[in-house]
Amino acid sequence: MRARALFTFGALGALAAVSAVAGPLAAQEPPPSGNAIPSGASGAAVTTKQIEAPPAPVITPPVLDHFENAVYPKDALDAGLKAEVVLVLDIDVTGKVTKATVPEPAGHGFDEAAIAAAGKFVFQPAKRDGKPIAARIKYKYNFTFEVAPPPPVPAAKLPQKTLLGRVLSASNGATVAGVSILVRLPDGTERATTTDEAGAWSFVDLPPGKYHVVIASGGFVGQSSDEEIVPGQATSVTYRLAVDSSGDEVTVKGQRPPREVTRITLTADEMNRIPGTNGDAIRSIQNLPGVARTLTGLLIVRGSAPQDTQIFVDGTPIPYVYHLFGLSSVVPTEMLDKLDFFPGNFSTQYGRALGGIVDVSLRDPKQDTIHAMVQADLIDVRAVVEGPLGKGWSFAAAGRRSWIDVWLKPVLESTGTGVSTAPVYYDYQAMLEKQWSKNESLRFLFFGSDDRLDIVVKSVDSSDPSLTGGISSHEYFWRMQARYRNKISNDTEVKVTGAFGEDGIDFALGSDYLTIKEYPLSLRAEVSQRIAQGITANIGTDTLVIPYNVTARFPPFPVAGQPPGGPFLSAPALTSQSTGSNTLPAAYAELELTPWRGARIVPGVRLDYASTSQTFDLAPRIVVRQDIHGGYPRTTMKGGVGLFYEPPQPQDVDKVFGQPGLTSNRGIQYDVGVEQEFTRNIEASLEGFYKQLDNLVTAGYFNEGRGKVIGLETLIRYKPSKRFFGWVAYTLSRATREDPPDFVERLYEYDQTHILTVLGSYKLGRGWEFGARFRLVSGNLYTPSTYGFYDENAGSYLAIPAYPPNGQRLPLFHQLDLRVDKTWKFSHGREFGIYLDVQNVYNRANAEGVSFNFNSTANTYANGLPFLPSLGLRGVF
Amino acid sequence: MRMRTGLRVTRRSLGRLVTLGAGLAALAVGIACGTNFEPASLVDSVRILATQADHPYATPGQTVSLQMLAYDGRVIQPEPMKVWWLPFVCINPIDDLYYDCFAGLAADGGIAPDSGLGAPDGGAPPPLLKPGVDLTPLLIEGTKFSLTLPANIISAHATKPNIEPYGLAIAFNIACAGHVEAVPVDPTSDNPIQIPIGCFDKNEIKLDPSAYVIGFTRVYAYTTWTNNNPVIQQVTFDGGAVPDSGLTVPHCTASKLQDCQAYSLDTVVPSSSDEVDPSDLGPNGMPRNEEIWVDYFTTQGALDDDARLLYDPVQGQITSTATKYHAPQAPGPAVLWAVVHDNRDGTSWQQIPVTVQ
Repeated sequence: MRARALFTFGALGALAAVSAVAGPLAAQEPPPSGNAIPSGASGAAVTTKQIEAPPAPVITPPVLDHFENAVYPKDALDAGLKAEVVLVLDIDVTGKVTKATVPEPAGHGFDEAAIAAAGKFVFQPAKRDGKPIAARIKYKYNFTFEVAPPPPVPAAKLPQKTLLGRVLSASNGATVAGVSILVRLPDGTERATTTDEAGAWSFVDLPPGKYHVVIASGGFVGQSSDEEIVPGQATSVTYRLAVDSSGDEVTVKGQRPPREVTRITLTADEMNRIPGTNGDAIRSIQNLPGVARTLTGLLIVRGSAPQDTQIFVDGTPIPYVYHLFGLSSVVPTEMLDKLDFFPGNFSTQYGRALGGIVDVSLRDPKQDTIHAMVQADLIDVRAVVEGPLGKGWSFAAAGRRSWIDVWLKPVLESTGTGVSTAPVYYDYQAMLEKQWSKNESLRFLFFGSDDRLDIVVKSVDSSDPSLTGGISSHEYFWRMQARYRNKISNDTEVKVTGAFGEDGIDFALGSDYLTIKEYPLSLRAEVSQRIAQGITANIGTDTLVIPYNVTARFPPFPVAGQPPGGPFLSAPALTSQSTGSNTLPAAYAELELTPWRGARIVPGVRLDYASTSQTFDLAPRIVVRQDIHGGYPRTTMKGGVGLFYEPPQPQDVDKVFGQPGLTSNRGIQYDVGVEQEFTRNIEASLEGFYKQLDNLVTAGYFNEGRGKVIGLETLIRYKPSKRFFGWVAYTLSRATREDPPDFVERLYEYDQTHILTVLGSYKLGRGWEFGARFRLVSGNLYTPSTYGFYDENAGSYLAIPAYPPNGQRLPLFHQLDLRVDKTWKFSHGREFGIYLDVQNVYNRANAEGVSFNFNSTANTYANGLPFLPSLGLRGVF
Repeated sequence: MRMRTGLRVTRRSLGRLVTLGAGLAALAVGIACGTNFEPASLVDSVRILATQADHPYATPGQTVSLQMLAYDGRVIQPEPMKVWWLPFVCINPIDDLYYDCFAGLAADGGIAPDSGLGAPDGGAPPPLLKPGVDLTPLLIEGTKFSLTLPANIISAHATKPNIEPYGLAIAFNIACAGHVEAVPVDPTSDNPIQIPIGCFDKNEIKLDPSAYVIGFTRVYAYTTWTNNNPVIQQVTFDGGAVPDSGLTVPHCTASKLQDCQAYSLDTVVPSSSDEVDPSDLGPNGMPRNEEIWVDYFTTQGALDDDARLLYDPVQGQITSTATKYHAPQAPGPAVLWAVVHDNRDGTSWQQIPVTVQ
């Protein structure tokens, strides 16, 4: 009797056949039957002698009824050992083995294994004249195995996803989890799967052919579709399900429906591929409607100043978003999952801003294995490493350093500028994450940025000798953030994000300086609770505490409406030193209501306190969305109105440089718009907005400033598909201010009437990708100047600026940027890529300002970047 | 060369914009702007090059003497240049703004009693400046001017926190290749800066900027703080001290001025001139010294730099302060000036005749 066991060894695919060959040994006396050695009642060997006597008893040996396979000893198997184990078995009258011994041990675990198996043997007992008797027998247990040749494993044996895709909600594009996907094969058989939290589904190894796909989910209208798999290609499909309007609220698992009028989300894939941005995430925002174009990448959202827009990293505010001169944002795109941009009328979870909100989300570390990425271009070099740590933990670490100092330093020195530290920047991120489940996670994130330069300008510009001498700047921040998320149930979700860190500025220009040290603590916590059908409440806090120490020496800042009275640094400087703490607690509450089919109403209120002004600001807001046509193609009307506050900055209320007693800047924002789907991938939105601003902090006039911004934003977007994404964005707007002393309405300095952006990126196949971006934008405003006075103390001419200021506009800006990528993919997820990003392809001389000669009797346009190619290399491991 | 962009220093965005603006400015200054403007150092028009006060910081009641350096660099001079001082001194204008000195001027040229405009000797306000009238008889001709600071100049100045109390007096002058008339204030314009005087030729035609300069000099008054004008120890040319008789250089035969032979030009200011600036307490509370730079001007030839830094409050004495002078292509007489400034209104200069062979 032979027993065989199979073992398969992982990737080698080897087969090992293990057989425990067992068989009783032949007895010394020829056994009457079987292979037993009769041994008498006590098991002892019996010899018989021939006497004339009554007839010999008929003895039958035990017969094995039940054989037990022994467990091949692992160490012996690994060592390739075989053995024969001779057992002595005592068998009782019932056929059970009462005792098993090994007179001559074979070792290596074989004896124990044979004894254990033999103890479970069951025999038909030995018999004497038909009567069961106990017996003792010898039994040989053979341990042996055969190694079968490994069968060939074709490369195609690894599972290949041939039919895959996503399921989204037709009403808002949110992903839908738990959807049943059924595929009927040509032979009539069926395969099924369900979508995961990201709405993704896939089938592996479906051969080429046509398939009928049925999509079904509770709460949604089911669909079916016929798909075809072409040889050599995978078929990817996105299904959009309409809500089954039976009166029941449907909770869409995955991305939550928006709580604001407009939220535009850019994926990491899009941010990486927009031409002209060098793959920079924050620069990609400039291509969205409502965002003005700037040379340095500063964000001017719906006519608001850059400092009126707040930037968050996973809910934690950061003091600045760009490195030196706007070359690159402080968080590399490789670490981002997505970017949410709210141009205005945002949820009560955000405040302290009259402009927009940008919240970048860092992605989770990869958990399959260790990965690394290295990239270098003309500006910086960066690296990322990430992977699993076991027991649900994973990590990611990234760093970046610019190397423009390498080539900029000799350029500066050739002009006679002394360079102690050429402009250089660093940024770094380190993440540790624990996922208990898909609903609960804890993340620790340490990130920061550091920019510095230290030069001595020895060649004095005689038109403004203040800009000379030592210029040094060191600006940095870091944060240690902890983020906890727990979707306790379908009705309850908790999110807590806390962070502490340090911000610093050390700036010096000649004899003037600014030194700021802040140690911000931030806490953002929110509980979302479904109270009843169609009613969800969100309650949260958004608190900042910022201890600070500031030392500054600067001339007094000009009062609103006052042209400069000389070169900036020529007036007697003021000195201020202050230590304190700014406390900005806030609490908010809002309801997400779905009272009838296709409707979504989000009223909310936010209460802020600012220690800089010692005032409370109560900000009610409401957002309404109504599906006019909920199914495909969806049509949604949307609108909102809300009150927004922005507290004065600490320097605004400084007792030396500022105006103590200020209150918060205030704005009322109105939005109305429509969203329309045209195809599964193409949708458009049209939105009108109006911002009424008052209580604006104005130098020398406290909170007397007023302003208005009105505009129309259009976005036609092709959502990312397997090959293509792109959009056309157009904004028409007008931003004005009524500043003291005369309160005459004038164009605001950041006004840009027309902003048109057309961009797209297409994957050509074989790793090639091509993208283009064209922009047509109204010129920026500037103030003409004429010949004026000669300041004999400074030795420079003082031009007379035209009044009112910002009365002229530079010529129209237009520019074409192109990008080409080539990626080579290798096994185990490795890839190498090279890209060429060319800005200003046709070398348009776009005016970014006006240059004047030394006495303003002549001027010419100062042009922006010329034709500028940027080459980058990227390796992923 | 200056560039106006959207970047400027504002109170609300101080940190970030100062950093960006300074960085861009540094690059703009350090790297050629790529424009073809004539340099400020080339004197080919009517120019005021400097004004020196014998007491850059004065005390209340003190009389301060001013000396102006002006030059007419025009090749063709239909009328000669003359220099005048306006017959009033502006005391403590609002927010120390020079143009607020004219806020007290009415459309008809009258002067409001509380305008802050007084006579140079501190006495009664000057006569009316009526538009269309040749002001020559009212103006003080010449390169010298004296003013006496009122005794209450410091106490009458608006106080500011964390700053040594001071008073401010501003004197106005004009170098004009014609005659000076008052220009009516435009009642329809809200521009705070309106120039009240102009330079006109014999036919009453207003001259263009090449024929006139309107300048002003500030004199600060402090109770105890003083400031001396920097001293020019010597000007060196091609490694040697400039002789009293001036320089002689061969004319350039190259087709481009920048290809002409370049001579090293440097100005030596002793470290004793780099005085402690009591208003400049560094971040560590320790007083630092003045910033000193030198402006160069020439009527012929070209200079690599219009101005060079000599002392920096943080860096101290600067190394490699020399610039290059390129001889002109045409022979003839020329003039070279080195005007040294400190950042507390101290000024000195040296004028160097040049013979181009």
